[in-house]
Amino acid sequence: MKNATKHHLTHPVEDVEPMLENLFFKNRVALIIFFVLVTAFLAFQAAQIKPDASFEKMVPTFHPYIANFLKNRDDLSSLGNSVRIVVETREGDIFDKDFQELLKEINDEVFFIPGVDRSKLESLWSPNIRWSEVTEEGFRGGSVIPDDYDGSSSSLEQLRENVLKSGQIGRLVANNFKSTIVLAPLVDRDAETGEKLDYKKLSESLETLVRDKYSSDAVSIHIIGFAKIVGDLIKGASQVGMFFGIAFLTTMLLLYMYSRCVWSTVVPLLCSTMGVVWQLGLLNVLGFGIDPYSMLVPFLVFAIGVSHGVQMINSIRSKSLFGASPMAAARLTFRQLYVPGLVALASDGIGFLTLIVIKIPVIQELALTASLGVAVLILTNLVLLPVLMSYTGVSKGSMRFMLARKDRPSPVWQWFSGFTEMRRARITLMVALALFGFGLYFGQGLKIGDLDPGAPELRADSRYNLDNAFLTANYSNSTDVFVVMVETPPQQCGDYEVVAAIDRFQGEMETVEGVQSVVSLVNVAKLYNTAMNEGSLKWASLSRNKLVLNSSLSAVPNILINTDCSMVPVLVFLEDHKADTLTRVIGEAESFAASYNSPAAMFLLAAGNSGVEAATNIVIGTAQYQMLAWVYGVVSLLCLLTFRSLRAVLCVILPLALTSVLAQALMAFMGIGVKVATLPVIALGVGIGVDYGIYIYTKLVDYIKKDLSLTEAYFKTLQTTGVAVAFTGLTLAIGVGTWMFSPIKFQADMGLMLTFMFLWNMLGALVLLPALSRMLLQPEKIRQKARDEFAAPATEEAES
Amino acid sequence: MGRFYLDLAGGEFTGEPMQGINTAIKRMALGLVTALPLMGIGLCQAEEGVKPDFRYLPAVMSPRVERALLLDLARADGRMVAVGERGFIIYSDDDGQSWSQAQVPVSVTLTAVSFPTPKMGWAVGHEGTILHSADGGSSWSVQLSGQEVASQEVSLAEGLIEQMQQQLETADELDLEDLQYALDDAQYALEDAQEAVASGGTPNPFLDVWFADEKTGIAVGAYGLFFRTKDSGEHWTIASAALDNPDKYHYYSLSSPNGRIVYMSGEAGMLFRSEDEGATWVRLESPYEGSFFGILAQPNGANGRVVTFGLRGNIFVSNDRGDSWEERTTENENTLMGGSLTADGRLVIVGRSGTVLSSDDGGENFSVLYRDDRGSYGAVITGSDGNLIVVGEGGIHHAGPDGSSR
Repeated sequence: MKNATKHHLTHPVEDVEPMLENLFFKNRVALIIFFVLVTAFLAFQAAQIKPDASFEKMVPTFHPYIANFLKNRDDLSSLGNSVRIVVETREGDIFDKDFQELLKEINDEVFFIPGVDRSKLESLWSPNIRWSEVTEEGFRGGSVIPDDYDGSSSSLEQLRENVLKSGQIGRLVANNFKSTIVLAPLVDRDAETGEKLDYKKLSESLETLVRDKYSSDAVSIHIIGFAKIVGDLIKGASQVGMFFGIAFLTTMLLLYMYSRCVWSTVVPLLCSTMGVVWQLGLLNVLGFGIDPYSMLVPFLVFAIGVSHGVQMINSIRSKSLFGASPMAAARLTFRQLYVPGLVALASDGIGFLTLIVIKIPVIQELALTASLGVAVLILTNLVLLPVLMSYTGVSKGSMRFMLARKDRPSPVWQWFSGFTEMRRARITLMVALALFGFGLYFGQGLKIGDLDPGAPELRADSRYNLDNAFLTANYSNSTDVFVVMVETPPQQCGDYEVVAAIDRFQGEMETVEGVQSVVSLVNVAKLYNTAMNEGSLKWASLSRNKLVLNSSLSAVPNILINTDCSMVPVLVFLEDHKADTLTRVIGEAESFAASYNSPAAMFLLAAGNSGVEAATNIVIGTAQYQMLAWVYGVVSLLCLLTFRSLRAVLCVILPLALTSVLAQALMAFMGIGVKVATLPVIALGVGIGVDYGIYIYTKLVDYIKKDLSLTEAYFKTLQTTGVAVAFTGLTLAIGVGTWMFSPIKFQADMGLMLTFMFLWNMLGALVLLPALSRMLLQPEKIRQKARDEFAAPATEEAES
Repeated sequence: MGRFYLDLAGGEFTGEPMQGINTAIKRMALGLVTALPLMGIGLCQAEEGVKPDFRYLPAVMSPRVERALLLDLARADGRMVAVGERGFIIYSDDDGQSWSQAQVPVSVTLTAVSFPTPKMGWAVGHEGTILHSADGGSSWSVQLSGQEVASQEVSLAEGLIEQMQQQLETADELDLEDLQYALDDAQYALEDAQEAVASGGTPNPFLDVWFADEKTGIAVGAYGLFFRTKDSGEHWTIASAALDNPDKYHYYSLSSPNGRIVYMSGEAGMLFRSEDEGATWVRLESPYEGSFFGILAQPNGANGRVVTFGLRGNIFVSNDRGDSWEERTTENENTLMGGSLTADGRLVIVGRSGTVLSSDDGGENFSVLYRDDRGSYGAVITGSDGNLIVVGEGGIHHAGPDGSSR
């Protein structure tokens, strides 16, 4: 949108232009002092920004599943929030003197780590792990470690037998006896200090005090648990600073190569960095924190800032080339670029804002912070940047470099301009159509939700996920848990009608493909009934006798029953957390609830990591199309308002649509599901990608109006903005591309998808747009219209 | 052994006296509710005011039924039939390689299955349930429900009380006290049975079933539960008076060497023998006070070997029809649940925590093996090739002749 044409829309803004220009350029010192002060204040604020990874923000809190979960959250808190430390021996089995010695030490070490609920710590060496058997006299039992344990082979043999009788195989002891678990439940708040659990500190303690200290050639340690995931996420997120550094340096290098001028490199970087600082500072002022998702925003703000900076520098350099003073060149550039820059940034910002339709707080926050960042850039990069350049000017070397390049027409651009020729345009469009079909076909494989096993936040080959895979392979319970809450009136959760319903529910859930096992107090009641009958399996049934049932409930661990016996969680362990699996589980559970829910027992979905994920999937599944409709609707409308031509809208939007479709196919191909992290990517890609089209189309029409043929007009367009567009695409891609190396899987996914979209959008704008213009644009009509428009205001003016 | 669980599980002390009219009304109402699904009007949907009775919903058809808890296994000609939790019944026509799930009208835990002929079979389980199949185990219908069991228990107790009250009038001083105690017991039993009628039937399980032929059979279970039929189960009649079991211990296992003589083992070392297809019984002198979960009679005539086993790995064998017993010790101390004894003396016994004991000489010498899954098993069948099919926790397990994984 450089050299903006005279559109009705832009008239009012242009009228105030001289006033603003005078205001800024006549008070340069005051303006700079103002920016310095604001920057100092916001830098101070930015330094205090808190990492904020609250759970509620990442889930659709309005969804009934999540509402049910949050209502029962306190009663479910003991579910899952524990750390499993798997101690594996590389030789022989765990019934070994040295190994047991080590296990005892680890047990004692973990006992003293702050945040561990000491009374509930479980391991072979904790007193609460017992064996029992039924004898002629009744029950007999004891702690698993024999009372007279001395490490001798006979006491190790006794230990082996006790383990067999303890029922801990598959739970605390691996099925192959080569590893055993120290299970540390965590407290949410420190009992003495009342402080909230510090996940980062806990995670570090586990690394240094347990993993580093006890790993050896003979023993390896695996650590699994939500606390460890959070710890690893926080640790991984700290690397983001490094990525920013890399993006910054690469951009600097590119800027210098492009401008060959120190000031032209420093000033855009300074202004863009200032934009980032303002954005972060404003976040803190507004009371927001920064989470692993919104960490993307500073990168985007920086990259968008730099690409607009490049437009400025490019223009200032051209003006200087014709002998303008630094001041004049800067003022002229401001005058020319203020409006198109504003329109481009506005379309970016509005594109981001459409994300607000997705009712997941973390995405809505992303929408707000990104829009805020773009708004800030209007001040730093559209106002401050030319003002600063009016002091520094562009170096002589830079101008010589530009002159030299101007003299020899680039063969690359020559070749690209060929896309406006009928023959090549036809072929291009055919290829594009084929790609479109290809994308649509393979995009059908696109799945909602997370597809990889283990903790989806982290990479499949991360240490955490390797540890998790070890646990799943050697123990009997998966880490994907879907929890259905059964609510009853207080003190009635153990009534026969209730447990019978739960029993039936479990039986039906076990038929669902992908369900590994289902556990609730029913399992305990049946086990109890068996134990009360000398261990006879034939008694594995619920007793209708109130006394038996009640006494069996006293044996239920408190994670399977709440304090006033009004809610019973049913734990459905899943083989994976793929969307299809979750859909089947939800379907079965919902239909059971619809058939059998009564005031005596309400089956409510859903808690557990898989329950939350299921709700998120549902929200994302519908929001996906809503969001696409919004973002394309808004961007198309903006284009229509700017160009006043449906054909123009098609020329700009169709390349973006191809990119979106191909992006979906890429996601399907790479096994990246649509999830909280990847959903915003398409909106961001379209919102920013539309800039290229706007820049190129504006120029193209400009030249057509100057009576150039389409091919000539496009060649001229490429010569003037081609480099800038390519540069914009590159800086944006670099800004987010570094994310591909993030240890956090979803950040890497976001990085990959955004890089792909930025590059393909650029390519689409350079290749597909000219081919489409050949088919859709009628240069003669455009010229005619331009002449009419030129004439009309003239008459209006004459009349007034 | 200690009866520490009786006050929990027995129900003998839990009955509440009911007002006559109230009870009658309740009985009718509850009877209606429980009878509806029995009559095939399944309450699949919860309707206003009517609670679904989950016991009498048809068994869930489950794709993973082969891995569910299965408790017993029987041959029906070339077919194998297994029963287990949630009303699961499965059958295989290819020696256990592939299994199909049968249609079963109830969801209670089924504990035992018996096929006297290739087509006619019976399965029993919790809530006083007896099921019958006339097509080799493909489909099943309810023959006896907990409601009918409880009603017969009421009649039996009422008859007994009437009889004792008459005796009381003529009894002499010496017998009076004993008779009074017996009457009290009978009255408690009546209250229990009445309570069971009012609450939807007996909660007690049948634990084994045996048929001499396709007409005559018996089903036995918890707290002295004992029913007989002589007409293929068209009428099941309570016959607990035929046995000497004043403490109402559980009957766990039945076995017959020839279709006429029957041995029965039970809780607290109980052992019985019948020589007339289960009509009359002799209580045998027991070598042990712990529970015998299984009894096996060698199928080669009236004087064959009998083996019984149970709690804590105890095994006893008898060569004189159960009159005297010899102990067999192995290193195993896990409780033993079920077994199989062939005519040629191959004996396999399975139990808790992965235990498989095998013997080639009818139980003289055993080899002991603990399977890797350490599951608890309920029953085993020996194939013609000597390989085993074991059922229990984790469903169907294929094993070699010694129990090792195959």
